[in-house]
Amino acid sequence: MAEIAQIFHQPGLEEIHNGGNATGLRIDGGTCTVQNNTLYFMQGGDRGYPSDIDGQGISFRLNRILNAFVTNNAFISSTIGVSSTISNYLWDYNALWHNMLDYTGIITGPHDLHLDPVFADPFNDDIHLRFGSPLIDAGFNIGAPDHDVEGNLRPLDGNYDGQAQTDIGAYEYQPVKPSNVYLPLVVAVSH
Amino acid sequence: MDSRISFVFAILLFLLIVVIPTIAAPKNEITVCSVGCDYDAIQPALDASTSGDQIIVASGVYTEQLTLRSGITLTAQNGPITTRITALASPIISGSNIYSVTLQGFSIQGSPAAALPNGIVLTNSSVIISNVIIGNLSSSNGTISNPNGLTAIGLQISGEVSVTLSNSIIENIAGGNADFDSSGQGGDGFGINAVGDGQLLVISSTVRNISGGAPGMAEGGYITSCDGSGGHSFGISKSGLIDLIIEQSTISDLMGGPPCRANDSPYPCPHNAGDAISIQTISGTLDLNSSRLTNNGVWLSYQNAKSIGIAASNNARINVENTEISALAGIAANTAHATTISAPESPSCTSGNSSAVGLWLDSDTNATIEHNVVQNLHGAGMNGQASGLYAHHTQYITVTGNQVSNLTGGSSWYPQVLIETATYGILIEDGIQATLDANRISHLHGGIGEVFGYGAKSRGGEIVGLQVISTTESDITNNVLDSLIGGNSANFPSTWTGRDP
Repeated sequence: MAEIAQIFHQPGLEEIHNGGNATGLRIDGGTCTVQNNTLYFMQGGDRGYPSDIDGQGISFRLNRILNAFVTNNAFISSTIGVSSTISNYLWDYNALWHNMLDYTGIITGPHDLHLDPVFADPFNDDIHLRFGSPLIDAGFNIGAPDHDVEGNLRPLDGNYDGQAQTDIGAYEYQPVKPSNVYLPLVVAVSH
Repeated sequence: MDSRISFVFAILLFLLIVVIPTIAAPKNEITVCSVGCDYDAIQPALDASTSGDQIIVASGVYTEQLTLRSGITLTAQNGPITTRITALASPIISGSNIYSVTLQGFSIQGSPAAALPNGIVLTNSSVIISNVIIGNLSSSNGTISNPNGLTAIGLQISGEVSVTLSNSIIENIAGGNADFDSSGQGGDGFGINAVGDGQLLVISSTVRNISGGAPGMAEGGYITSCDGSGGHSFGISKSGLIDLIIEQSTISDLMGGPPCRANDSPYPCPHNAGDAISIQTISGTLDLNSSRLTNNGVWLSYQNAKSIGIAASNNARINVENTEISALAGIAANTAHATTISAPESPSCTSGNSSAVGLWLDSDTNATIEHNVVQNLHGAGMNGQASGLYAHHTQYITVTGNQVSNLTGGSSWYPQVLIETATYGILIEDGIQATLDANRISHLHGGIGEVFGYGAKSRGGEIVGLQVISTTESDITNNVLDSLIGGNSANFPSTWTGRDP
């Protein structure tokens, strides 16, 4: 909690030695639709002496928005998941995980997830969803884009429940098609 | 009887002299070589030609200024490696109010004997240029009476034009230096400069090594201010309503002119370095496809010199697809071009700025930017941003399927000032509609606050992956933002470890 308290530290003279902030997505003004984006690992820079504040990594910042529709996004591994000062928004079906603070200024969506997204190999920049990820088929289909970041069609039935449901995040999990197994033909010959 | 014979004879004579040559007019092939051809120089062959003629030029060096004529095909028999045209005055080749002209296979080169600023100059013309090399052009340096360096241009077109440049190279174009002890401006360098209306088509061509000239050093930097600026470097610049189409081409190794230096501290500090811009479009349309814009550098200076892939403004309409924009940098010391960043300045100078921006859009530009790679951009100095796309006051902009990676903001080297400018993967500001889909933005790093680490102000640089400000409507879908790191502060004593373990 001490770390979180630092986030809201009031600026002072020592601020001039803070680490720099990193923001993934910032929208200020107008109306916006934000769907199926993946924001992973926004980290502030290291502080210098005598500051006690490292920079902040904020996945998503919203200010002065007239109307915001925010669904099916993944905000993972940052200092803050989302920081908002707006009141007119529709927010749900988003995944937030491993942030020091998931929300400020946003009312949690009833279908938001707070589970490990199970990325394929995040330390080597592979943030595709791996089989078994809770983000698979956990999104909201209405209004969702019909393709993912790689141009694959969505929604697909990624959890094999017979229902094609949009995944959360930019990557739609590509289910492996069941492959046919051909056994050798054995013919019994009686002598 | 006699009169009838005379009448028939007259008809035959008419056919022989007037009609038959008109029907079967053969295209002449005129040869040019040093010995044994129709002509031993090219211009006399052009003067003797008529529309439809083909002039074949043998290998050799031809020192002459050429004026093109309509309907002529001028061909170097053995290509540009062995067939060179140079001149003792500029432009080397010109054409005005000509049409259906083809120029192919020549090397059009400046002369060591004289600074030649212009390779080919075309006005109100329709010309196809293929398989040529235009190079080694430089403009005159400034003098005491005329202190500014002059402009150098590989291919200049103006008026109502239709020009195609294919399979060609334009290289080594240098704007002139200002008079050293003046406050004059360095001259600009252009690979291609197009002004007017019509169409310019550039296919499978290369524009490289274009540089701006140096400004005057204001009495060697020993006065307290300097007004001169380094010349700008443009790969291709166009203004007016010309439709610019570029396909499968490379524009590389542009260098803005150096800064002037004024003695406003114990050390002569840098002012007014020139920009380096691969493609500049002021109004009209730009269609850029499957090309590469790379390796541009600008010097550090207070006035924020910019290394830019594409700059568009004044209601321009641009469409950029499948293109790589890479290795743009603000640079520091006397290193040529973009790949090395070293100590930029004395700490005695308040920190300068040099920005690297992949696409810089302004003033009501509409843009479609799809499936491009923008990478390895490095700002230098306190407010030297490194941004993939910087769109300000645009109208409708669609950004789809692009990869923006490895951007580094500039660092502050001066202890008394803070880094104030963020580095952006994509910034859209004051637009009407922004559609951003399936872009990947990764590995952005803020600059270091006060590198020397003993100053009073040392905040690290800010990073924003995707920012949309004051835009009426924005749709942001399927984007990936990964590994964005704010800049570190470098102000700490040796026992200070920064972030807690």
